[in-house]
Amino acid sequence: MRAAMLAELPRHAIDALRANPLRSLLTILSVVAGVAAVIAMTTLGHGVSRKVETEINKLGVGVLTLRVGQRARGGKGASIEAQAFDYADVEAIRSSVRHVQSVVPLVSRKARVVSGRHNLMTTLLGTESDYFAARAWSVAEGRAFTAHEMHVGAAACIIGETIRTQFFQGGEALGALLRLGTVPCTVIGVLAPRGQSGEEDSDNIVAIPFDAYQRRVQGSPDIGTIVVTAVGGKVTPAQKDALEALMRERRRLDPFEPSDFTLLDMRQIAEASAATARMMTSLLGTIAVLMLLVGGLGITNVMLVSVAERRREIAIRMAIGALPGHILGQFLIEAVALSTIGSVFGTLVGVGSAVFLAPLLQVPFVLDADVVWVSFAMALAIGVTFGFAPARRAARLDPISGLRAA
Amino acid sequence: MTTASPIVALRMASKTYGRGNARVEALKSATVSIQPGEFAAIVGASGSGKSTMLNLLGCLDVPCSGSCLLAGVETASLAVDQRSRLRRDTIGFVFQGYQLLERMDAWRNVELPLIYRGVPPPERGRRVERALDAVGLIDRARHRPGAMSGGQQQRIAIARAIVSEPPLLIADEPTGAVDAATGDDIIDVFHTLNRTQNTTVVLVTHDERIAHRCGRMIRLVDGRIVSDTPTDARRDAG
Repeated sequence: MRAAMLAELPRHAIDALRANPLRSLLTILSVVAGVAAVIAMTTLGHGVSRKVETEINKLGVGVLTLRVGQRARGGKGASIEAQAFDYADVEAIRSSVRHVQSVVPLVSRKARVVSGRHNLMTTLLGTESDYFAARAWSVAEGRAFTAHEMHVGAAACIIGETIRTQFFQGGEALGALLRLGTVPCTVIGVLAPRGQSGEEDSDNIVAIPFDAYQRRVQGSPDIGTIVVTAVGGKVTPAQKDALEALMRERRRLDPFEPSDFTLLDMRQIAEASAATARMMTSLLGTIAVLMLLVGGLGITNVMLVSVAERRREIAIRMAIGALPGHILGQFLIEAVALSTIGSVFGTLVGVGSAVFLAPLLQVPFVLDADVVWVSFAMALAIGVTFGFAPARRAARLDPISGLRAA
Repeated sequence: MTTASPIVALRMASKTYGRGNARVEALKSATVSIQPGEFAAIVGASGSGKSTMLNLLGCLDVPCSGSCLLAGVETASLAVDQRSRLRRDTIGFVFQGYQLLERMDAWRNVELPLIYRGVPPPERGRRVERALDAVGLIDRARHRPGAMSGGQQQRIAIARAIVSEPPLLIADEPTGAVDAATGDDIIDVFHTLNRTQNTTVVLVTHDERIAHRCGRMIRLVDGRIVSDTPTDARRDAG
């Protein structure tokens, strides 16, 4: 087709669509629904992937978390908190499980942190410097605890971003004095911000050396959690088995007794949740594609009706010089016009629904610029795919019978 | 008869519709030859095969047997697309019911054949203007068909048929839907085109009076050509 012809076809398509506005509108709406569904689902899908990614990063890779569990008592189904770990357990793991990078104790409780006239409820952690590395959490300002500070249980603390903004309003935090409950300590580091984790504010946190926590806050050698990281960032099943066997032995459990502690492989949990998220996304994606298919079939249907109604027009055009290719092009462009208009509005509705749904599904709203191209590609594909059969029927019309129909 | 090659010719052309008992032989071994510059009328009662013959001459259809030569090309041997091209390049059509596209004004209706021929816009404008001028309706260019009388609509249809300057004009009952005076005006337009542009005109009519105004009258009865004679109009012109 020559350029002069190509420039003319869209105008004819718009004329034809305007001749039957209600029908055109209904067809466009069916495309809007389909494209909106696809755009909303892909946008939410991006958000889900982003969320899973962030969660995995927060958890840290190759991390095993050992927690005190429940212990059955008296066989009546009642259970009590099992015996806590202690620092001897930490050292036993360090010395007997192969290829561990770090083993750190973790104890925590809610505590009030006070500075001058300000005070705030926060999560107080007692741990060692390696904990931050295990959680892939960097100290943005200042430093982590030194070996000496950990050894003597120095009154030093590392604070989260929330504490810094609440207490120091962007001013100098390092070297400042905070009171944790009754324990005063000096700020030596500020952690990089991590944001929300579910309902919890990850940055509302103060960490002190494990020894300091044990002696000044807790007053007992109990440890609730031990965090173990593997060399190379990946925990092997052998390491898990070795760890479990070691702990069972140290806790003197009978061979048939269930373990009274839990061993969480963070990576495994993260991967399981990522897989669930992916499955949900692809399921929703399938539904969206089906809706798109229905919208496309709407175009086929309307175009078939249109071709049947316009046999006279087609015949006239053929008689005055239109080649079959011109007729095919005209009807394809009409179909593409319908699907393009539907796509534009569908994209807006889809992005809008994603904005609305993202907070409900607790995923971040991630707008991908590719959405624009995706929807244009969809418009073209829908129009051409679903408009082809009717357009070909029009192009094959016999001009004599079409003129007789007048 | 001149010895120049005919613009369109049928030789022993037959056309049959349907099968078995429903079989209708619409045209029986028709042989006719139209020379460039002729003005011919095909007359006959309804069902006599006029329209069938016109469809063959106009390359809208091909004969079941026999041959149809349009501009020296055997139409039956062409593929659909080639036939469309041949028709586009040689023939302008005028139909009984005007067959204008209602959604477009007169100008755009007349412009359409040029668009399909890929004529660029400035040239298109000049030719549309010339065609509308030839049928005396340049002042109605921006009216839609619905806002015009039957005679005006038919003249727009003629402008549309001649805008691409085809050597052959084919008209199916061009005066069938208008009153006698308007019918005469339309035949006048054809006469002018025939005389000034040397356009060959073949029209179908059941109106003897109209037919007598054409140079040649081909009479069909029951699918057969029963007479093919020059008229007074031709003798006058000659």
